[in-house]
Amino acid sequence: MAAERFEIAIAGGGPAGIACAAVLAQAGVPGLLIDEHPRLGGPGLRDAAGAFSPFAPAWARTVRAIRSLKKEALTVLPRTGLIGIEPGPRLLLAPEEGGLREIACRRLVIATGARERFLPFPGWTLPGVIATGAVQMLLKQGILPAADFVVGGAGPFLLAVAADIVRRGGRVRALANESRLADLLPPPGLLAGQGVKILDGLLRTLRVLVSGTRIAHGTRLLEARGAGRLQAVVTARVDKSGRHLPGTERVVPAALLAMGFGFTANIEPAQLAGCPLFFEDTLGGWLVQTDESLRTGVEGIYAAGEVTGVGGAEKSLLEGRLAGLAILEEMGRLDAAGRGEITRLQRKRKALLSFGRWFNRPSRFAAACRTNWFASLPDELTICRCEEVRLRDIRRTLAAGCRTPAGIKKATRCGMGVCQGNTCKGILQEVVAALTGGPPGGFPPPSVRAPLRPVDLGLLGGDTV
Amino acid sequence: MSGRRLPYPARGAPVAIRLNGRPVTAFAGETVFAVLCHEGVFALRRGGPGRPPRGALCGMGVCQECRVTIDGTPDRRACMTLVAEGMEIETDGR
Ligand SMILES: Cc1cc2nc3c(=O)[nH]c(=O)nc-3n(C[C@H](O)[C@H](O)[C@H](O)COP(=O)(O)OP(=O)(O)OC[C@H]3O[C@@H](n4cnc5c(N)ncnc54)[C@H](O)[C@@H]3O)c2cc1C
Ligand code: FES
Repeated sequence: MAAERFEIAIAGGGPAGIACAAVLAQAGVPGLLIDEHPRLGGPGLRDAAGAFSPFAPAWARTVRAIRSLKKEALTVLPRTGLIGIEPGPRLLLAPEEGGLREIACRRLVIATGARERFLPFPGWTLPGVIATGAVQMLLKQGILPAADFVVGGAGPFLLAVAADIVRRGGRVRALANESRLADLLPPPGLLAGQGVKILDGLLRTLRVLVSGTRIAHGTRLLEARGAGRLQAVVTARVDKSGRHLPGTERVVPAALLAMGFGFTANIEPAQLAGCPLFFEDTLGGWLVQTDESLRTGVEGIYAAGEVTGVGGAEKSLLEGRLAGLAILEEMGRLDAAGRGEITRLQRKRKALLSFGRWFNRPSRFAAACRTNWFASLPDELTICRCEEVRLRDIRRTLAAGCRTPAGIKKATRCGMGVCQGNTCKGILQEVVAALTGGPPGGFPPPSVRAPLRPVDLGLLGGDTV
Repeated sequence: MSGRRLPYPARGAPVAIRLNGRPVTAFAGETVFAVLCHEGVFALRRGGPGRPPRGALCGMGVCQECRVTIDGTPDRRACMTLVAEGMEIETDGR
């Protein structure tokens, strides 16, 4: 297969990828922007046609950046998955309509964003238990998927989703947040200059409370119940050591459970490319290591957005622009004003990383807490949804002396199914850490292999395209 | 039907599709996942041992739980596919 050549390829068309593409296209550098979804914008934005909260200026700026892209000489490939990276860098792409494409580029920007993080509980595989982000995307497309919801999991995003459901006419019967209220309140240092965001948060809280929703913190999703699909959610209070308090169970009927435990970065393409990683739980777990100009440890490869630390749209937009400017500087195409902007962006980035740490911390729990929590989960609990691996299988393998996630994966097939472990490999690391008493980042990151998305394996064999 | 369409400035033109053989009106720009939710179809396929019903989880292309048959092609992700006139969607979770 002959590879097409591009000066620069950008993987991921969320705020980071778009901001980067906009800088490069304005400078006249021929580039390629790839995203597996039909629409640009990333999961947080692509469905939000026009209806932006005045409190989210980053959204409006991304939309302007998308519009500006259309005018530039940039190749955009939507509906195209990045499934492999080889030295060069050479990219292997899988267009939705079939076949494969190979791209050779001088520089690659990895901006593949983040996905929602899930923790398992009995019944989490029932139809009707869906991600908080998925519910928000439906609302942004103008669809209220049910009348009655429970919102649960951990972290500050739950309140935002509950407020959106209520605003669009749904009922939130309960908001069960495993995080404690004290952990959700932003530290004073972070509040300086964030008046608009604070006001937004207060208004959202008010809206949810006024609707009659019970907001419970330190409260766990104990079980999702239903015959063939979700009918009720059982919640219970938990103490500070992560044990649930018997007698505090409540059964809440609902048609949908919007569930999420924060976010985790899509680092897999960077892993395939051999980029060094680091672990910081409060920035989202395993992340791509970069210098201040967002260069990764691999020559010619940059990382921007959630992949360097989960921190929200503002941070992703900034990093996309920063990566673009850094590339122009390397190419000798930046003037003094541009270099000044790089310095300013690098400084501002530090503040946005602090915001990210606040955002992620409430959904990451202390070691003792996780140990008590996971120890209480039943043997039949499904951990790997694709391969139907149960907690029992993991406990048995641990008891047999195999004590690393990598070993357990091989022994049980946990994470070897069609989703490539994207849903459960983080869970497996946390479960093994909790049950062996180790820290969650104490194991090497789960290994990855091409293809990153399921494709017809025959295609990978030879000259099929 | 369990979902509801809300006032939405960017809603596209109506498109006629079929869902498990039943004619359904969707709107251009909607994902197949959104239309399934609107129609109250949450069980999309069957899982492993015991064939338990499974539905979409992540809504963003990651979990592969929303795989349905579209125009005869199996295992298409409902959350990553936009509806189109005449589209035939088949779910296996019934
Ligand atoms: C529903 C939802 C609501 C949100 N609301 C807010 C909010 O109100 N305020 C806020 O600040 N933040 C919000 N966020 C977070 C915000 O969306 C992110 O911080 C921001 O979009 C991250 O930008 P990014 O460019 O780094 O990554 P993303 O926006 O995640 O974009 C990454 C892109 O890469 C693509 N991609 C990933 N892997 C591959 C692959 N292998 N091949 C091809 N393409 C791939 C994805 O399809 C995606 O489009 C929300 C997130 C979600 C999911
Ligand atoms: S719902 Fe997860 S891939 Fe579609």
